[in-house]
Amino acid sequence: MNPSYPLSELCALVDFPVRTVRYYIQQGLVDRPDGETRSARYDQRHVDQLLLIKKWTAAGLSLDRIRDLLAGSDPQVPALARRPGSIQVVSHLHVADGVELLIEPGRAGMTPEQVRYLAQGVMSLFQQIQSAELPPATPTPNSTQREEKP
Amino acid sequence: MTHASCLTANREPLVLQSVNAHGRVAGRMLEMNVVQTFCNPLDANTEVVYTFPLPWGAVLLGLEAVLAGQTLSGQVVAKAQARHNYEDAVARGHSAVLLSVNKDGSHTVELGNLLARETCVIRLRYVQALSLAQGSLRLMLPTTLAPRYGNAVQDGGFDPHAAPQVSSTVAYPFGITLDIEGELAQARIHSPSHRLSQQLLSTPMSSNTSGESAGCDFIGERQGLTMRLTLASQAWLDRDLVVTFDALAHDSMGLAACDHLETNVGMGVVMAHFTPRLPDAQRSQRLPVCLKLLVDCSGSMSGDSIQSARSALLSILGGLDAGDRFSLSRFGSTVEHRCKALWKHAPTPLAAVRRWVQALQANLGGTEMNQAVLSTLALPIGQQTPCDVLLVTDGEIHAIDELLTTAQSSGHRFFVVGIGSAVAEGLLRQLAQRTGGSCEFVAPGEAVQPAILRLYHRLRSPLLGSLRVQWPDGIQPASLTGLPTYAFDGEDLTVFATIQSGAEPGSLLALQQPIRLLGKSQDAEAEQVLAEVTPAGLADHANTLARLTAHSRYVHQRQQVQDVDRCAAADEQLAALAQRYQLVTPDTSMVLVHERAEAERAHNMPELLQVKSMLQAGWGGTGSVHEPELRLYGRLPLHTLAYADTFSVSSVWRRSAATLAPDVLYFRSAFDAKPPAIPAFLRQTQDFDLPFDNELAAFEQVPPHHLTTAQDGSGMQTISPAGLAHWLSEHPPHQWPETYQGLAHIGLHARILEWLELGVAEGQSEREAQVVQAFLAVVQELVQRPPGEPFLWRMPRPGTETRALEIRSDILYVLLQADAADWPQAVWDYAETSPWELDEDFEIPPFPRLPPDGTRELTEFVLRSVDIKIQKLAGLGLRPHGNLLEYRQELEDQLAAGGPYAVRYNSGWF
Repeated sequence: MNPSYPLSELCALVDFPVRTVRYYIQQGLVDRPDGETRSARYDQRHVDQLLLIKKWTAAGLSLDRIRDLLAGSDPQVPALARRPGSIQVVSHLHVADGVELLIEPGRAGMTPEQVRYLAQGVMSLFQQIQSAELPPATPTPNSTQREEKP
Repeated sequence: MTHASCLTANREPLVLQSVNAHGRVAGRMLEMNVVQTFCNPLDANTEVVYTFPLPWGAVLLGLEAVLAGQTLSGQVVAKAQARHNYEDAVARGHSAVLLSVNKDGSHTVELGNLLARETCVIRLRYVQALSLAQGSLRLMLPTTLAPRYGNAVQDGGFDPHAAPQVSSTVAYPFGITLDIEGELAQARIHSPSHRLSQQLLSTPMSSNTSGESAGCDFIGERQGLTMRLTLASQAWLDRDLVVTFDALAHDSMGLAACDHLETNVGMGVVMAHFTPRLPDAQRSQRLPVCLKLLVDCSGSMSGDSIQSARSALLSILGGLDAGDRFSLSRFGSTVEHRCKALWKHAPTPLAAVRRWVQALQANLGGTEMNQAVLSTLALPIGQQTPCDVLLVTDGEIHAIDELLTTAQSSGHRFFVVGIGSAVAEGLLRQLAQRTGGSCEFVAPGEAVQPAILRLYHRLRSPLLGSLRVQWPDGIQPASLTGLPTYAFDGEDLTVFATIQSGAEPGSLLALQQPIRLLGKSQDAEAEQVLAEVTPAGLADHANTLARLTAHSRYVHQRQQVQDVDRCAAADEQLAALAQRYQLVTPDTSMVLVHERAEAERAHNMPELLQVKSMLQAGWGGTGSVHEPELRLYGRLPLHTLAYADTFSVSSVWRRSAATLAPDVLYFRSAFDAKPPAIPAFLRQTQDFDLPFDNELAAFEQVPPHHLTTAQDGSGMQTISPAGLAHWLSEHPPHQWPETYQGLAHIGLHARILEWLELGVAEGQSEREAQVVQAFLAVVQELVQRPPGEPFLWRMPRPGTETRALEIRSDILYVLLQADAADWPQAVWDYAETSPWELDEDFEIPPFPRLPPDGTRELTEFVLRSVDIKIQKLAGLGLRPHGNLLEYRQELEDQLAAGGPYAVRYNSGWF
């Protein structure tokens, strides 16, 4: 049977602070333990995952990239730097003076219909913003919530 | 019952509901109570992590949490213990709050096991000692952490879970009330960041009306006038709240109290705010300055920030005087120096850098500040010591350690102008403090002049060093912290002391005697009294003064331990000190645990909800921070200011000044971050003539000697003298350009045009046509002479205006140093200082002007020209005119005699 450890022993094994291990679990980088709260148990699988994360963070990978790698996605080769002479077609959709939408349909994988739909949407939104009295930038917290405060 | 919850535009649940603050300002202290309201929007048990900034130098004194109807207070314990208590409570299903400080001075609050739909209110209380500078005070309350360059975990020292995150879609409401008491209430109060309304409260407030907690007793009873500042419109946690107080007549002041933790030994503490004053004779002294200006042009400076940076730099340049020296550089991922060495204060260099500043763009990518500082420090300074660095930046970087080390070991003082609506104050303050410099901050849209004036006052006043505090007889401080190496005239410095008063416990009388700040001015031998203060006694039941003193001691000792040698014993002692005085430090954290009944406990690991900070208003050009309407003094729009300030404005710029759009062709080619592969004059644009017209279908067909590499650091290609002469030969003279703009259109590099405009024409626009005409004529003559044949110093026909003659000579004198394939170095470096004014080991080409009348250089130059003419005549089998030989003899005699030199170079026969 595989050995299993409580959280504190797991942390000692991989030399991570408790909070960091818990953070990786909360972030979905490391599997959740068997059992919850104080009876949670960790095994070799967790040790392996944490050691991998340790290696990759030391190599400078971001947590998002590590999540992809752990999920089994192919390690992506960085996009080639653009060479002199290469051609890139980008549409500049003029929305209003000083407002432009940049679309590279090839890279975005958009059909002409989608581009048109996006353009119409952006322009109508812009008109809406311009014509209406600007509402607060985001919804304000519900007032009933505020009154509950001591 | 339906639950209220906040959602972002992306329908993400918002956990931070609001932040409300209530502060009191009196004397030199700010006491602030902050209320953060969290609400779990999910149906699951969560853990909230929120990283937020506190003002620089603020000391956190207390934390309370209201959770499930109970109010609990935090206790400070050693960091590891606090973490253990917190983790243990969370694992057992209870709730806990942990507050710890990050390496950059920001704080992280963790709130574990916030049950489904539960609300928690966290109250923080902190105190900050305020520093007045030259009659003004700037209160800065940071509300958000702007995105920083670098890796938060590896460079910034954050724990992975506490690394600040930013989102452009979240918004948190922010409310604040500030009560200003005492003399500050009568100051000129202004906020460049928010619209504030002012209300005068003349009678002492009888009750707390705005949620003040009971802990607000340090400042004491309200006395006299109180000015209450409240927000006049909805505000968000997206920019620093800045309140400035001007026209203050301030003087040193101090407070003394007993240390209630040490009453048995009769320990007292003193906090003294000294305001050093120089005698009037010294204060009016204005020392010359030597400044290396370094401006941040990284992407985060786009928009409002680069505007502020430009106007700050123009204002700094405007403050330079004769005798000052300066250099100018900008940085991002790379660093670009406009000057190879320090320039003197003179019209041409100033005009050159002003133009450079007006064209600054935040287009240099990342923020490699340490590399840039190293490179700037390496600029030769010659005999000019001391030399100071003036950094204009938003300070948004994670890797601060190596920068601080670099700066500290450089021997330069660092002065900083902090820019932006959420500037990284902590880093910039540390940088200035450790090097003996100082900081000023400019919010977007704020007038820069007052800050720059203060900066110059510091730069130009004599250095105050060898500081020490003189205590009354019989008093010996057990510790004294906060005393810097240098002081500035009229600027507060706050020192803390613990004193064994010797009197019976509880007596403060021994401490209420005058104490003095002594120091030596830079050029004076004698020690002088800079400030004197008699501390006022304070009952201080909450022991706040003793805690502030302990905090100062902790910071001081922690720094020393770091600088000297880090050992476990020192760490333990420091942790014990912080724990005894309940201070949240890198060695200690504040923790509280709410024990829940069995039925209320959480039964699984909480989901993580990280509070993402709001994106700083106007960050990286994302919109512009609106100037608040409440202004006490008006200001010209930025571009008007920039131009009104400019000593000479080129015609090119005048044309584009209306829009400030840097779209002039030559401008773009000069300042683009990446050199375009094809020079401006070869681009297929229909706006102007192409130099080689149709004969050039492709770039490859240009003869290599028609192109040259610009020596301005950009590495881009530009048209060479030969290329220009070729163009001239292909075009009839009536098509030749008559303006600098016209020259730009045929592909001449900006630096060459600047040389003509600022150097040759001395910035006077009425000379434009003359200069351009003379320049083209000289280039054509120079290039088209047969190979090997010396250039003939041909004089214009009699009757030609003296001015035209001088212009021609100036251009010729410089271009003679070149060959047809390259512009001479003196053109590229037209604004560099003359070599004889610098160290001998530094090579700079001569200033590209004809030497002035009456100099040996001019006489030698004319003699060479005469020789060339005689040689040419001999080649034609002609004998030179007797007058010419006579003139030659005259010149030789002058050279042999060593002067006086007089050249009659427009005397007809020459």
